Amino acid sequence: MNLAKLWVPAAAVIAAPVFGGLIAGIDRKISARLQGRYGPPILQPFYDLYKLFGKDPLAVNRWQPFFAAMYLFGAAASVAWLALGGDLLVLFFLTTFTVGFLVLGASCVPSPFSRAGAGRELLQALVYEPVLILVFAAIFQQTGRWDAAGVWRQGGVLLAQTPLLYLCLFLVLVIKLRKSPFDFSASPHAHQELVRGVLTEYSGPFLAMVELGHWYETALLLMICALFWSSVPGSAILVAATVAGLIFVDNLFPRLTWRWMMARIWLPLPGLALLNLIWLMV
Amino acid sequence: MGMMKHLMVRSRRRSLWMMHFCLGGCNGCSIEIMAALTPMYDLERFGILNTGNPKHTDVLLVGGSVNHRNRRTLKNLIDQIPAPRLIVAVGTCALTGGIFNEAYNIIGGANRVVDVDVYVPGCPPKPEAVIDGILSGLDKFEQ
Amino acid sequence: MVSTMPYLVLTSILLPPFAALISAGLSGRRPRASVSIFTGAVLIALAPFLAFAGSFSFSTEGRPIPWNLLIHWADFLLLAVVLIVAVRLKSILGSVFIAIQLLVLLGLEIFWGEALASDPVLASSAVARVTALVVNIVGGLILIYSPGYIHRHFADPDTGKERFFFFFLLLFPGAMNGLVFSNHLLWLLFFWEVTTVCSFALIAVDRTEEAVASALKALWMTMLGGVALVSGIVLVHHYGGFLRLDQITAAPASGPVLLGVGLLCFAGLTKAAQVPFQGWLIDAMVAPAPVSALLHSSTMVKAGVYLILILSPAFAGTFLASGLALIGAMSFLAMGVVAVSQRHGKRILAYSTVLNLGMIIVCAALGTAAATAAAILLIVFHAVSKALLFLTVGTAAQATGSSELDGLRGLFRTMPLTSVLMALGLLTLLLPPFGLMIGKWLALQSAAGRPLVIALLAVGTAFHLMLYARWAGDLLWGRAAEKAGQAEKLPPGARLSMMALAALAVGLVPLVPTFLVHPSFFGFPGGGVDASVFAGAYPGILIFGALLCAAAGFAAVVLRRLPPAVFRTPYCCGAEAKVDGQAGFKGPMNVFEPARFSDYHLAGSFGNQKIVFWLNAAAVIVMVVVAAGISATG
Repeated sequence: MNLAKLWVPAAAVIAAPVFGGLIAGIDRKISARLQGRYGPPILQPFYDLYKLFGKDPLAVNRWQPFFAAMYLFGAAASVAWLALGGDLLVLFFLTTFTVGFLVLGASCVPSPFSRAGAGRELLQALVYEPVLILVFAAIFQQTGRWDAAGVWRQGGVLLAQTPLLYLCLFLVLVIKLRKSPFDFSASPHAHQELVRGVLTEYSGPFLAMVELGHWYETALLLMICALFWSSVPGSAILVAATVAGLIFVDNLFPRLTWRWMMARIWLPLPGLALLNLIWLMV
Repeated sequence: MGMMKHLMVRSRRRSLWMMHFCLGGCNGCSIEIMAALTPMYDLERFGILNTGNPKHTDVLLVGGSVNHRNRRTLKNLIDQIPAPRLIVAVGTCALTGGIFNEAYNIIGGANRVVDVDVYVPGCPPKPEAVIDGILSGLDKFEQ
Repeated sequence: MVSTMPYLVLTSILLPPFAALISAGLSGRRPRASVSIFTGAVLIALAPFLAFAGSFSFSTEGRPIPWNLLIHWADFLLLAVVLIVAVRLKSILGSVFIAIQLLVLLGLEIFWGEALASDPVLASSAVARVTALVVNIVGGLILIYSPGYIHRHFADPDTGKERFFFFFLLLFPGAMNGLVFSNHLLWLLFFWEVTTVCSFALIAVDRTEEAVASALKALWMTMLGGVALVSGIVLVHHYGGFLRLDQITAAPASGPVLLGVGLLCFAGLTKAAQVPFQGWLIDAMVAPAPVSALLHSSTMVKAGVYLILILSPAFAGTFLASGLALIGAMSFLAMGVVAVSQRHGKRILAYSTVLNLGMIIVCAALGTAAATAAAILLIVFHAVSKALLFLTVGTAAQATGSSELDGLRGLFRTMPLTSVLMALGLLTLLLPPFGLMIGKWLALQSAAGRPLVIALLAVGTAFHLMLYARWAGDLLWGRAAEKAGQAEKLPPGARLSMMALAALAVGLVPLVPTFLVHPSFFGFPGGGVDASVFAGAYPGILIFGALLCAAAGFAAVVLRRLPPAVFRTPYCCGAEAKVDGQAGFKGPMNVFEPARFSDYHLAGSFGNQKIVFWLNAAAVIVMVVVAAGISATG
């Protein structure tokens, strides 16, 4: 590891939330336009976040904000790790760290809504975690490298060989970026059932920390997508197309439920990914 | 420091997460508040989002009159809204107890239990009036 | 140092049975507790020497005591006694398997007799030394923990149950040390049988109907492994002329010898409770917590994976290796799936033990340097974390009367130390930068060429997350009660050993490259693990760990300052109320309702009964195919 290169992860840690927030803002704007509304300004997520930081802190117990801090730390560390060009399998474990602390934060409070959200989050993890490992295994199969830096340097359009895997990754993004299912772990739509799922019991600055962590997660997943076309213009096109696709999918299928996800997506998804992996090997 | 503060005021004015609580009554005000949330009025352009959770709320819209039972509920909810917060009483019942005021179980308007920042009169008030009420309370965040 | 080594090893083998005999002769609680604690302390002190004082070997040639003869006769005696017990308890399968072993042993003695001597009988391979390190440190800590627990467990010290318990508990580490240092297969067999018998006796210690039934199940399953072990010995001796492990592992096996090695591995699978033999380990959870911690998670079940791991040079790259990898991966996935549907804390830990052992077997089967390193890491860290978990769950169960997950909810309010240590134990099983994650990382990396294995591991890992994250969260419900710190009275031995295990689970992580990679400590089969396995990611993981500590410390300091006024009840639609520190809401008629919920156990999809039948069937098919494959190619 080259210490002089440490500015890269440092810059990524600063830039990633800006990027994640902008994606959220663009998403809200475009979704509003698709629904025939004017929509909030692009910078709206930043206003929301800054406002939250300025509110009074309220908590249920001391563990809860502690776990929120750990979640934020995990998410930022994952971004730094990928920016550093670190090992992809370790990156996978860092994502489990992130999800783990989100779940811990939600389940350490005696709140039915928060707990229900934690359960949903784990179901979602059940769907997307295997796919992430298989995606990384496929990247290794294709490039012979586990480290992201090596994969990126190798260049090339991985996408050409891994269309099914990218499709799986796209569906993972749909879940992770909180598009579908609509009654996902932190759904702002399923008030009656979940209130706000895992986020229910957070408020003010602690909620802001979790939100910030989510932006890091968004940035991280899009960075993983970028690996599939490792050149600057190529990855920019790929990421832009992916985000556009996400927004359209969200607006086309706004009411898919978690049961649907478990029944229709859960097993086919790793299956599809495995198929692609086997295809790569023969 | 001045800039940070300016930015904070701006953020607060631009980002209003609201929650609506109906204490009881004919529910007409609730319907009008819901109407204000439809795409037709597009509250999101002001940064107003509907949350179902006091812990995420900046603006509480209260409709209906206070009685001995829901008084505790209202207090509980407000206790869980982190400051700074804005409390808007919507409709005649929430202002004064309205037509139910003389009933044996009614305490009166929302201001008998909590400090109300904005009063939106009407039975029920139109969605425009509700929106106007919320936005006219924003000056509270200047302090 | 080298010259004292045989004495140290002999001490580690002979001291525990000696202590067991003494404790059986003592009456009263205090003396027995002292013996247990003393033995534990000595074993812990011995451990580093056993592991780091270099290699050693012990030969019987020219010794005044006829060691070989002693071991053989002891084996006969042991099996004969257990046969009588099994017959009296009407265990048909158990009796049959023991009788078969006795007959085969007798045959060995008659046909080969004197030719069965082969030196050195004891030796220390690298894997043996790491395993010894784990056995003695973790085992020693559990011996220190046990008196406090067991005094509460048995109300009356004079019924003999307590004496019985300490006899077998103390006997066990000696057998385990003997097992890992055995080089001669018949010595290995003897110590193997002793661990089986200890396990059988300790599962049955409560003498309830359930306990005896579970013990008999464990007996026949592991005795089936014993049959495989003696048959394997016969095969490798008859066709290969081998009597020692170092002979077997010197070169890749083939033909009937490979079949013999396969039988030895089969014995390992039964001991490690891999599918289809997972049942005995799950049922063994009726035993008291120290037994579960010592035998059924951290050390004895490791004997199975130890045997497979140490044999791995003999079967590397064969059909057998693929079969073992598949069995291990199946156990890993299936046990994760089944565990999700469980609600009982100890059973979940048992399933998680089986699945971790499955992962180790996958590593042993892969056989590369990185995979071997992964297996060692998993053995070490799994033992530490799992022992910590069993001890904390046992402590909590004793205090609250429940080891159901629902009963452990909000444990933090009354037992802050135990609950935090338990949560830490759960997290060390799962998250970076802790040891098991490093092991899993290396394992996944080694499995890169095998998509099926990787897919099974991938799905299993997700179930893992589901298992532990919600449990850890559950524990930390609520805020500590005012006087919880004083109220949580733990026996000093329990407190000491739990804290020590927690410290090991966290503190060993930065030592991994030094003590695993350094050539002067352990040279691994297959040319040794060189530092390049860890290069690249490992320093990063350490930096992550350091940053994590800093961040956690900072957050803790900041959050400690939160004034009590910031704490609010959870949201319950405005009807929230709190009674006796319990959160809930005011329901109809102003009646208080505590907050309740249940988790997704997915019991409908993954109920134990539904899945286990097919799983066992699949495992048996894999085993038959592997055996047929080896015979055909041989």
